[in-house]
Amino acid sequence: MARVFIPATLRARCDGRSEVEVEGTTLRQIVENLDAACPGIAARILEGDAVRPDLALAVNGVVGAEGLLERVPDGAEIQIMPAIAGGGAG
Amino acid sequence: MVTAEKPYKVVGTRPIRPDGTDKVTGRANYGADIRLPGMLYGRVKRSPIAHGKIKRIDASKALALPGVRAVMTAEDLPRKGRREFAPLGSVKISLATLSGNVMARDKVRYEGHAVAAVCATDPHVAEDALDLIEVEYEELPPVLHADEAMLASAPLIDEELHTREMATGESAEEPSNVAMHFVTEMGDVEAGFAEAEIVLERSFKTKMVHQGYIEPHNATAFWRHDGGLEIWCSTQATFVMRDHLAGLLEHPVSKIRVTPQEIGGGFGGKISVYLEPLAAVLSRKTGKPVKMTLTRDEVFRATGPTSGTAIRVKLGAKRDGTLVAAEGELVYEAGAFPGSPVAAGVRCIFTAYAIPNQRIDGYDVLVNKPKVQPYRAPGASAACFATDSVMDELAERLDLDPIALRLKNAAVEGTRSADGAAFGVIGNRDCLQAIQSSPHYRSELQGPNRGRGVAHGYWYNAGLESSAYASVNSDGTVALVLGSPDIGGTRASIAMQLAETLGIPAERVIPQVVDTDSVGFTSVTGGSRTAFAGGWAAHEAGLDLRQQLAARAAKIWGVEAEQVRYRDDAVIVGPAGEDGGERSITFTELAAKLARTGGMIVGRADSNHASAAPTFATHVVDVEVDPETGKVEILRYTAAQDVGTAIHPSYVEGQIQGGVSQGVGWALNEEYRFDEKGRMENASFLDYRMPTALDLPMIETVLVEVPNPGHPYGVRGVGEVPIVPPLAAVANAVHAATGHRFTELPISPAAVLEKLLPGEE
Amino acid sequence: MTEAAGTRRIVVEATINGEPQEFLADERDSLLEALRDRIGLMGVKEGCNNGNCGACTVILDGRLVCACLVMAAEVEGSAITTIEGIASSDGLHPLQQAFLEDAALQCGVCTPGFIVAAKALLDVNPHPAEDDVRLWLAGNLCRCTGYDKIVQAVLDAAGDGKESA
Repeated sequence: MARVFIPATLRARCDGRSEVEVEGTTLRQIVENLDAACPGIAARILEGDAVRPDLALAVNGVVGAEGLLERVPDGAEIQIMPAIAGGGAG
Repeated sequence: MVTAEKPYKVVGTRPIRPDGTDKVTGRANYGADIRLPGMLYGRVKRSPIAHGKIKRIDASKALALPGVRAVMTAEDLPRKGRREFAPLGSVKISLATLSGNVMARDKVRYEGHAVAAVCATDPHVAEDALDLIEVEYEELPPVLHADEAMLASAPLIDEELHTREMATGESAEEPSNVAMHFVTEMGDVEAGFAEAEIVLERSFKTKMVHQGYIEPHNATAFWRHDGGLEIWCSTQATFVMRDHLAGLLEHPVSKIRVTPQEIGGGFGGKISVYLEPLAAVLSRKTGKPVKMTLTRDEVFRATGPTSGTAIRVKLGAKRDGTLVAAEGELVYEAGAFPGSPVAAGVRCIFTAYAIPNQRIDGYDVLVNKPKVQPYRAPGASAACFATDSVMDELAERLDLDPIALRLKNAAVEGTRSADGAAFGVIGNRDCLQAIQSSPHYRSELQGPNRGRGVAHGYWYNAGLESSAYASVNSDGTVALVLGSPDIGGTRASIAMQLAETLGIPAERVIPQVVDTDSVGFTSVTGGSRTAFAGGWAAHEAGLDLRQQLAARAAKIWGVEAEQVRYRDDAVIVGPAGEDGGERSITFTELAAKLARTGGMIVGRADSNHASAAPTFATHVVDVEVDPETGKVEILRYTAAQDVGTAIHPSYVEGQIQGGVSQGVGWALNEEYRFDEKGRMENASFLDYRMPTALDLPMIETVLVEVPNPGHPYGVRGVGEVPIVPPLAAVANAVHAATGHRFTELPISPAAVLEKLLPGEE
Repeated sequence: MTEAAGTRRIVVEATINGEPQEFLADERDSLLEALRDRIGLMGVKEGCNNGNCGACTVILDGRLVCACLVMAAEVEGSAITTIEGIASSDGLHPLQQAFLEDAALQCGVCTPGFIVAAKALLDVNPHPAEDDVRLWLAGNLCRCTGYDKIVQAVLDAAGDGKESA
């Protein structure tokens, strides 16, 4: 079971909830099961077979590099956040 | 000052950097130092107006000038779709934006926008040719400020741009200059403010500022007749450059090789492509290598500054200082194409503090100014300026010590930020306490017109892919091959982590940064990720070497590999031999035997770890304001930072001191000034005033070492967060000195005098 | 290159890093362009090409100048010291050693200018105070270090007593 935090503008699709608990061991399963709980939300998160280019899914606050294959440990927290780049020192 | 003892032999020491001698003797090869036989010199023709349609480009006179070899325009680049993307770290970037920015197509969107490029046998001739390229424009009214750009009546910079709602991906019906809207919400903001006993709401503005690296952008390209494209340049990201060129030129990745030269500073501004695709096309047209370098004027007008911003912050607190609600609205200028760092501003604005109820809105807004690029902790400094100015006023109103107020509200392990993410092990309170107990903060500041300010900032850091190959040489040294361009000394800090893993002295590891054909994919040097991820890859390559060396010793001794162990002191030990004594061989001894016992050994790692950890910084500054001239002098500055483990403390201190210096410049002097037509008025180092040695005191540093539990040596990134607090710290100090709140940067002498002189209110 | 319009070549004789040299320059070449593109002394860096950053600092007949502000034709008969002429065959100059030991460089592109400028300072003032160093080096921009370690390195090199090597 993972705890998905729903961004404010997507809460309308989840009966106003800010958090939804869903099963899944990969991000792909999480998104599929989230869509079952909040119909239509997957279409907002995905584009084709991947996460939308301007969006990122974080597992416990960290955005990994494996996309929808990223493993989700039991009890994990999933955040839906904008994809943002770093800068650079030196 | 370093606060922790470490169980390491190499990590935490201060060896001389491996590339140092070449740099102090002038022998290091930077991008502009490339010279190839038959090389041509390219220059860029740029728009003199901020907004207009290109009616006609006629290069015939330029082409007729003796010595000129070719001219190119956007017609020579493939047209890219708005939804075609190229990767940039964990983000994807629109190829239409990249392509449109490197060379204007149909329309110019800012003064300095490239419209054509020319190459010639001599740089002076290429310069002469620029005046002979005729461009006819239909001028359009420019949009220069984010607030006017957001109005429905504003002229559209891009008629096909519709505001996109980040979370839902939905686009608005009507076109707009607002590219993107972000919103993050947690708890119940209205209820939170209803509960508050004091509410402060203030608005802040900052101007566009430039990264200000001393080396101008440069690129040399050679398009071979077999289609192979060679690029030599100063870039923070060779592999990203390769991917972007492949997309922009529709040329196979396998045919492009990017060779990084030494890079003279980047700070985020040397990730994007500018000259490389132009030099490539000119080389294809001429069959010769083409070298292009920007002038300083072009660097200012046509490469990435960071956003000008307008930020509104509302904080609600209990009388004891406990924050109960926060609201933020961040409007960031993207420049002429989408892509400001407003999302990072949204992510960072309140994150250092535990606030149960928050709502943050962010807007990415087009204006007719250069396309912004990342600049050190992109988006976070302006956000911190707003929040920590209000925190300062809150402390004043509640009669609380400013550090005590921040300590009361500091996020700790488990605290959630507005996007739902909870912190792991962090050094947030540790930084505040380090300043609270510092000699500087405990000293008394005396004298007229003087004031002390503090501020506290946060940055999240990045992980991403890095590769490392390590070959053992017969003399007991190790050649370490890396893919991360080294800007601030990362070769040293990565080599030190491999030396630690192998148990050998730092000087015995010889690091080298190589081209994109010679090492595995390595992401951008940026996001403060290089010492973290590169060091991790080097560590893994070292573990691979340890295992292979133990196996080789086992083979030599005729025992099972499991019976042999590589000790941390670089001695390989095995079971007792026939004489009854433990078998052992040193790393150096074994290195000398490798060639004759099965060949040399290479350790390798392609690593990708998502356990980057955030950092915090607390700064305190004393200033003196000259009431006659309005000049603000920095008397004393101390910066405490949670640096994880300091691999090479001198370079960690250097990162902090450099970030502080840039932040002080941002606070006091630096700004892009435009006339009413959008032409930049101060595109030189004389008029764009960066701090000199005379403008700063020694910058005291306190390295608070809270190791990152998600890294073998506890590394957190260190390079970015030092630029986050200075803006607010300086503004708060100027308030303490003058009694005036400065909500707009820079706090230039003119701005100070305007507040200080009577009758100007 | 002779085909190019409006360019005329001139022969310039000067002593560069102790060696008498004769080189062919374009009449429009600055000393910076001539040193880099005609002679190949790439340690002289271009940061701004208008005298504001100090990356191209060289010593011309004992005076500290920005090579970008001097025409190549002007240096006829002069003596020029660039970063390439600071170390001797015995090893690094104390300033170079101090920059290395004090980690006084990050990206390193401003470093040649700083070292040449600092050498000129120590030549006239072997034991400068911190304020003297800051004032003297105010014509050289560094964006990476915040100047702290650069100033320290110059003070340390002066402390060695070998500053006029």
